[in-house]
Amino acid sequence: MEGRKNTVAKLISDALAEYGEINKNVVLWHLEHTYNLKPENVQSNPELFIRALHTIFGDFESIVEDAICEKIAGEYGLNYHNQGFVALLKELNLE
Amino acid sequence: MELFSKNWPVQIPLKAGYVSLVEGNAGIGKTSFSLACCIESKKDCTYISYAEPETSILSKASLISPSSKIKIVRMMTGDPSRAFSTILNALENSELVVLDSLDAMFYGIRDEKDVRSFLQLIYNSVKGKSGSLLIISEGTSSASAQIRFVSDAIIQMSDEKIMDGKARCITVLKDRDSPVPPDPFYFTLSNGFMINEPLPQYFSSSIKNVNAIARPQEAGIDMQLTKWNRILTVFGEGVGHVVGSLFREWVAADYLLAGKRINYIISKIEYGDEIASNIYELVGSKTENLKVITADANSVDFDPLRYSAAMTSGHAGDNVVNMVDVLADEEFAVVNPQGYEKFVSHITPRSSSSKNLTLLYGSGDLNAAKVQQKYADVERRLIYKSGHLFWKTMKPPGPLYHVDVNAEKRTMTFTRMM
Repeated sequence: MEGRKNTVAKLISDALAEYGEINKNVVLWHLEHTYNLKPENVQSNPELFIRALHTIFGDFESIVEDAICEKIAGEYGLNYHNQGFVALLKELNLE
Repeated sequence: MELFSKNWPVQIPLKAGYVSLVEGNAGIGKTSFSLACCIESKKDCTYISYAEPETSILSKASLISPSSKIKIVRMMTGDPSRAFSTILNALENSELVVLDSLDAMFYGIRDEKDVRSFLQLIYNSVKGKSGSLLIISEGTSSASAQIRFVSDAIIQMSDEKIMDGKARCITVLKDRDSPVPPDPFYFTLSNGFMINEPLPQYFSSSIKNVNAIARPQEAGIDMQLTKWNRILTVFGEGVGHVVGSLFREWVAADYLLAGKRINYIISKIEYGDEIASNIYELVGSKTENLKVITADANSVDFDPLRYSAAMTSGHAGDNVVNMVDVLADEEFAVVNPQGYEKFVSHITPRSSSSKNLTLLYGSGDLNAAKVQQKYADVERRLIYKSGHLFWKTMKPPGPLYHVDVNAEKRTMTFTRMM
């Protein structure tokens, strides 16, 4: 379980990095300092994570969320059909 | 908001979800403009400052409004994470956020890809929120070039050369949701931050009971009466009949209110009764101290001595001001130029003990004006540019002033452009 959490954390980080290393760093900083969320503990409150992404990315949140989900689904051989991050974590039994 | 009202530029950055860019050279007034936006806003304001100390910002803000409440956050150049998070939290709080400056925040971010993607992140984070972001750009980084495409509004601040002087001006280059004003806005920093009042070209307001003109130092009534004999004000670029007449008549009213006597000399194309009536309205009552004289050089056969007698048939003695429309002399100057020059050279004594004054007004294109220029102690210019009146003493050289005419307050104020 711990291994899976760390893998998901890395995949979240990797997905954010696709929008630029600077962007990844500022987003992670904001998540940690405003919401007390780190990639490693996102699964403890995935709804808050999505709300935070919406605050940061605005209308582009769904694009970022899909990018994260596709990476996770790809890693674990799951079928991602836009069910969203929260539902995907449930499938991984990480919630 | 009234279309292109005086305060239009400071309203633009307050639009919810807007990313506005203000750019200009160092010292032009970007900080003061941003603070004026904060004060104009009904919401809280967070000012993120990389360079300017808090005391300096608060001092500038207090000049604009003594009761301004602005939260200042000091930031160091380096990792932009803290600055970004501060912006986001303030936007969530529906605030106006000022970032001073973009170049400091982006210092060290060299890769163009990173610059563009971070700018896009900032832009997206503002959208859909009730707060707004105002970014100050010094123009020293690649981000300052790219932000122009991402911003909803671009406000450019610069110096404009006017009559050998300089006026600070704001030009709205871009406004995504509204039409862009066609003319610049002029402003001064002498009393904090103040945008000057424009004057409609076809000013039709009938103003009554004017207040004393807030004159520039070099144009004080008593000083002029004792120091100068003949002052020529050339109506230059854009000054039409309506604006020119308003200016002359208001100046006449000002001297009358100060207890002086006026000989108001007009050309044959104007009506004396109408002029007198206009000036009485400005003064607030009829007065025997005003005499309107219609110049007619033809009736005295363009003879300089007879013309001189006709032009001095009004009030005489001390504290008399002759206000002359130079157009009144034009026929004489064209038909008998030598006679006209003789008349001008003799009409007003160059006497330091004389307590009289002749104020001449007219277009610089007139033959009569060209002659008057040779004999004037002082030469001034009044121009109408982009909806604004500017005034300057050219000889001897003086500073540039903006003439603010406020019909509601019944004031004419000369504001030094600095």
